Amino acid sequence: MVKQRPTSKRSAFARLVMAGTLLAASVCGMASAAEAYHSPGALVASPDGQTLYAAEFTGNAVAVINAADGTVARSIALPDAPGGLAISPDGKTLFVTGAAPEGCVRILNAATGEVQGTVALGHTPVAPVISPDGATLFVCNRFNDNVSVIDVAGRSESARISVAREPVAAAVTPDGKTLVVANLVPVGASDGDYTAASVSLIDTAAKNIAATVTLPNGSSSLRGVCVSPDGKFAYVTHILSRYQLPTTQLERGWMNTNAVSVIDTAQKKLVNTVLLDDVDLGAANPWAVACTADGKSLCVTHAGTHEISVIDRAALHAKLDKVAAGERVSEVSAAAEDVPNDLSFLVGMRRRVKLAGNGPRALVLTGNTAHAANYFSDSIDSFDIAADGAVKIRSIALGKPVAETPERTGEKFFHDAALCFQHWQSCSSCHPDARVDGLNWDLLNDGIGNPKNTKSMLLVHQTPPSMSLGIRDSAETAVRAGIKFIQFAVRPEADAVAIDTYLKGLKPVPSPKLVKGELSPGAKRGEAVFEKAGCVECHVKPLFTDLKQYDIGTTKGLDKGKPVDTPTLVEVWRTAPYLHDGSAATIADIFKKFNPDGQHGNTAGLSADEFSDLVDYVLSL
Amino acid sequence: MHRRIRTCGVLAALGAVLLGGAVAVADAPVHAECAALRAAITDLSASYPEQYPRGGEFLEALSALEARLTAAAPAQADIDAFTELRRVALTANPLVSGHPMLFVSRHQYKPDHHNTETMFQTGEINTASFEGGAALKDIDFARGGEVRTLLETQAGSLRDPEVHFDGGKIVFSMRNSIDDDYHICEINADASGLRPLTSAKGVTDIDPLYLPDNSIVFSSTREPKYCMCNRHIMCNLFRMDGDGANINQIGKSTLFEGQASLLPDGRLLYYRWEYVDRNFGDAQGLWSVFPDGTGHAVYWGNNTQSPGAVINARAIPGTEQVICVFGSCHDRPWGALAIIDRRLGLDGTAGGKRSASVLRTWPAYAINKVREADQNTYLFDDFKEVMPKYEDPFPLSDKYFLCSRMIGVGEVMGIYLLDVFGNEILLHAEGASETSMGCFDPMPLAPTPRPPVIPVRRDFNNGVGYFYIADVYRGTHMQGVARGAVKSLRVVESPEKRFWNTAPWEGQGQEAPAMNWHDFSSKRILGSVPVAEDGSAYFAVPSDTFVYFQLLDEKGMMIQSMRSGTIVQSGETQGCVGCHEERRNAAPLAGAALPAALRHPPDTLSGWYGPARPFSYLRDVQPVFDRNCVGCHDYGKKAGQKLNLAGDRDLVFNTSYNELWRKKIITDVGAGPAQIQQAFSWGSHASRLAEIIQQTHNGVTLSPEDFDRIVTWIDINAPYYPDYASSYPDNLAGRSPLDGAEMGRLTVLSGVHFADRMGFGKDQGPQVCFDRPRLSPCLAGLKEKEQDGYWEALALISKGAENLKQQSRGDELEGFAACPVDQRRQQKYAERQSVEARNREAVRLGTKVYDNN
Repeated sequence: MVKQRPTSKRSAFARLVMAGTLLAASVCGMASAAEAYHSPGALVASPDGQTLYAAEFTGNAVAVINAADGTVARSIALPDAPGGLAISPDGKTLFVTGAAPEGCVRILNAATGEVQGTVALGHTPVAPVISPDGATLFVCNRFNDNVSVIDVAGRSESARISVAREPVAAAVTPDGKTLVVANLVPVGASDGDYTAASVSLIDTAAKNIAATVTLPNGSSSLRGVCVSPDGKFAYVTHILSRYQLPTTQLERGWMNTNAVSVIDTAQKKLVNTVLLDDVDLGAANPWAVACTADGKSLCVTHAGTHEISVIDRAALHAKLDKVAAGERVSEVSAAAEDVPNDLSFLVGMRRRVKLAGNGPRALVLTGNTAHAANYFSDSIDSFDIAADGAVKIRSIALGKPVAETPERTGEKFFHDAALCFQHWQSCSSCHPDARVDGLNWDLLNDGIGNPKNTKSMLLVHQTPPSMSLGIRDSAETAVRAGIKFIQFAVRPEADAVAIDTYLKGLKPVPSPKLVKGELSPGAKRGEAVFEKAGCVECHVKPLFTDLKQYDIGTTKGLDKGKPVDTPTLVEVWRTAPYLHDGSAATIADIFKKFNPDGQHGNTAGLSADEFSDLVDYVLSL
Repeated sequence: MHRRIRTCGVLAALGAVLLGGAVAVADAPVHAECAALRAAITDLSASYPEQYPRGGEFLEALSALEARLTAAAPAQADIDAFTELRRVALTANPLVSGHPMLFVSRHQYKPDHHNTETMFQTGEINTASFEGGAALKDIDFARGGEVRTLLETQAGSLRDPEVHFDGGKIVFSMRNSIDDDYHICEINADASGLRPLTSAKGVTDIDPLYLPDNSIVFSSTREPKYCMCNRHIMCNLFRMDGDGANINQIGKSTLFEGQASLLPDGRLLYYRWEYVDRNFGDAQGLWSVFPDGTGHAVYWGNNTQSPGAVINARAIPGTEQVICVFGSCHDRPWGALAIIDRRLGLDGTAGGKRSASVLRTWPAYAINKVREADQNTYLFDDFKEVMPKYEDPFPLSDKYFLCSRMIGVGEVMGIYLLDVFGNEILLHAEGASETSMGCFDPMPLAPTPRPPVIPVRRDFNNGVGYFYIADVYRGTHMQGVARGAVKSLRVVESPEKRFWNTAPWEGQGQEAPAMNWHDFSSKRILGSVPVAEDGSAYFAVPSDTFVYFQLLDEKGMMIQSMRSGTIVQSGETQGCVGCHEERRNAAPLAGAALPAALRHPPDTLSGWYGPARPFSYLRDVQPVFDRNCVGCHDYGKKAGQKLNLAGDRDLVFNTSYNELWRKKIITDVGAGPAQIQQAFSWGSHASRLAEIIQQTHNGVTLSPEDFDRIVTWIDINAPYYPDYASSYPDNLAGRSPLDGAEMGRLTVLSGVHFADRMGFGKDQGPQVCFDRPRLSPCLAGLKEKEQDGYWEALALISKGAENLKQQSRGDELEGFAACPVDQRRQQKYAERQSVEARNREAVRLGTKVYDNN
């Protein structure tokens, strides 16, 4: 935790921001000690399949691996943490993003590792995708909610296209015309009847959004996209949350199920959503997805259960076509709308292959060989997906084994569904990257029938009590309650301590509203309004909470009149929607719609400009 | 005691006798057996290269033999050589010979009515069938099949061993003699340290199982209750600390919960025999539950017509499959073995055809017995025909299995090794004569992976639990139910049967004493709760109470009814998706942020026209007929000839009850079929009586309460008696107030063979009217024919009426006193309940109490 010596409110905050900038070198905000870990999060292969390139998200390097014998040929050091990796169609050039608030993409000579050029991009660039003709590179600016279009030859950015929210994965159709972008989490208020993330389909020629495909109710944590070799279908992995029922049980995916959605790229419509779980065994945190070049197999990594689903793609589509035509394909699915609830849909057309490593988040297929990069075990597992009988896994270690710090162990556990009864979910299923899924959940800790919006884990240990109604006296209590009542697991106390350590070590990502790390002029003005409107009385710096509970007139139904815990505002730009029930889609809505009597700050009397500046300030924290 | 016996000689001899014929002369079976062996050897070599080094050698020998065996007339020596090669190659499997193999030697249990009848408990109906003589042994294939005896008993028996996860100790059940009870014991793997864990007198404790937290689950008669279709004592699941402390009940279904094993996710898999409005024969399937007794849920086979019994299941490691026994109702707990994958279905058939969830059986042809027929046909004993018989399957892996199987001599069982390639060999038998001991419960005496511990999610406060249903309209059998049609949900208890007598009423099975026309259970309405427009409901239910649910429309008439029960533990909240939705569905996201019923506190149950009580036809239904109908529908009236609704009690029930069932004026499911029934298919919606009373009938319109009483009675399957206790245990059907001699005399006088008419199938109307003896139909015409006889017969019936005044037979509970035998049973029941309460308090307080406290 950063120590504070406030001389003025502003410089203390600036210190916090700068500390955050220095330390938020990677998407996960790892402490400097963890740079010893490699954390491979992206993987590409040379066109001949002989060489693998793994981007090390905390190792700040690209490992170059000889696919045949599994040796690490060399390591290309990078100045900061990469957020993604792409390789040119001729295999000669690597595109590695620098995932910083003022990010970039670096263009490397694949053979030598030499940086040939750098293009400045937005906040935390990830998921670079090269067009089939090699002329254009697309990069997701994760925290700008947009996609950069880069002219490769000219090494310049030609456009930015707004997408929905936190684009984290993308793929392009073989004809280069459509870029399919996965938005991590939903947008908008979460207290309605339908809350789901979406997939943005970009017309690459027109450089605009051709269509937005909304996924089924409860879709969040979109992690991977790929397009079939014939270009007809895009596959997006995500979690399908059954958020409307109280969290009384886990059986049959009562809370979270895990899915792949199939999109028709020509029609730009959702074909259907297929569950990756088995009836009594979840397949948690589906992440990377890829098709074999012959189109026969669709592979999905499960970062929570450390396995890969190998799906017979023809059989999958045959069954989807039948049910779309109204045929009863099983006792479970009589119509297309039954498929997203069918936990037996893939039986007979999918193998679950257990990997040796922990946390497979990246996948590349060379012929019939699957290579999966394991984020937590710093390894790459390879196997032949076409082989009969028992699968032989070859594991490549990216470096010498490093002793696991408690923080790293905690991060690993946080993402590990093996802790969970029947492996349906990890903590990260509702708290992707330890933040929010944008959904409401009816946890039992404060009774049934009063769902609450998922809260971010950032600073929870520093800002007791936990939960919107303050029902857990501390984050430590909440972590142990989560293990017991959400994971239905019994774990050694040391595991909970590790998770505490990890969460305590989280660092805020600097707001995309900052200008070169500093408050914008509007935000500076807004800081004064923050005081004038009385916000600062409860949202006390530096943590922007006085740790107390107040009735701000927003609780209703079974919670009517109950005071809510003052949340921290650090990183609030990232954790929409707002208020305990997610009823406010934006910061502005909090005050325009849900503060009629001024119980939540004296905002009615602000001018339009003052209000706008206030919002800017709050979103800069 | 250790005794080392070399069994190779016995085995070789057996092999020659039993398996010499296994390698047939004709080509195809020989090729099949060689192919099967080849496949296994190849698999073992690939899977265990270091522990199975001789694979190459075995394959060479096999190839050489195969050439000679496929010749026109293979020599016996070659056949023998193949048999021996197969035995050596398959027992060299490190899963078979890497550790000693534990087993029980004993005779097969004596036959009795049901596959659960293996306890022969002291003081019960079949104690005399207990047979002593058993041993706990192990056999070591790494040492040439050396057999060691860990423990043996001549006068007593032992059964159901399980090996602890660390491999160092064994829990099992043992009984020292016919006068002793089965109790749970432990012994170390080296045969030292025999120690009892339970010791309560007059209870049977069997089927123990170590749980991942080192506690132990077992089946026990500690809640002494009986099957409803006969007179045999039944078991529920109990759990205790590893040292025998704090035994507490975790299952409360009304008949039998047995043979618990562990699923890889830490839940228990067990079989359950229970029926609500269901026939007795095919209501036995696999269930799952959490170790603390929460979350009882159907696993497989609850609505399967054949096999009638799905029992003895174990999870197959590394898969989502289980291996189990497909057995029969009226048989020992053996039958075929089957591998099922519930991802492919929850029952034996789907859409009239065999379900893909039954992957294979041993013997192979038995799979054809998994079928569906007209739902009123009973197939529950079809698997009795299967030969040979198998039981006690134990998966060594997803490919190799141990089991107990008939060796081909009488009922003698041996240990067999099966695999997915088609090999099936005898590993060990104790002898080859008809009187030889059998071998049961084979399992490695070795460490096994420990599934995860699951946190306790109940309390021990004996309070309420909660159910919520997301959408009652979601169900596999809700056709024709329009959204909004369901207005309320009724919660009904099916209480356990604590008593029995000798002379039965023949319902679908033996009702001893008589309870209802066709099915077995008494009913106790706990109350009704509203169902919201979106189909949701949320309500509190007393814990430890075996209940089922019914959906009612705006008239209070039943749309759909569960025909199986469930329980909730104190402090548990259990969610359901719908009313028997397909169990392979995840909970669908409806069109609303939260089910409406969850927006308010849970609804509570407040009885039915008074506090919750066992349902008495005479008390709660007959008065409606008396008020509204018997003016015309009575003896001596014209309408009464068509349908007599008089309340006069007859030998077993009363006039109106007999008439309504017998003449099918009500359409109820009785002891119904395995198949789930469609909405509206039985009950008031399907009954002529309900149709009539919904209109004005001959100027008679029922009041809302009277209407409700009638339809409710029909919808809970038209029960009669409120309780299983009898005050006339030795008389006909346990209900007649006249004894055997008196009934015999009445038979002579009237010419009516009453003793032959004690069953629904006799289709006979009421013969006696105890409330107005002169109206007794059996007296019709007698006065004219034989005056003395008439008066004597009338006097007998009047005496019966007088008896009923002095000693109620239980048509209503008020003034009823059970016979002394039943009072003693009730006392024992109450004593066991107080022990249970004491033990739960110990759990609450964190103290420890034991059986011998």
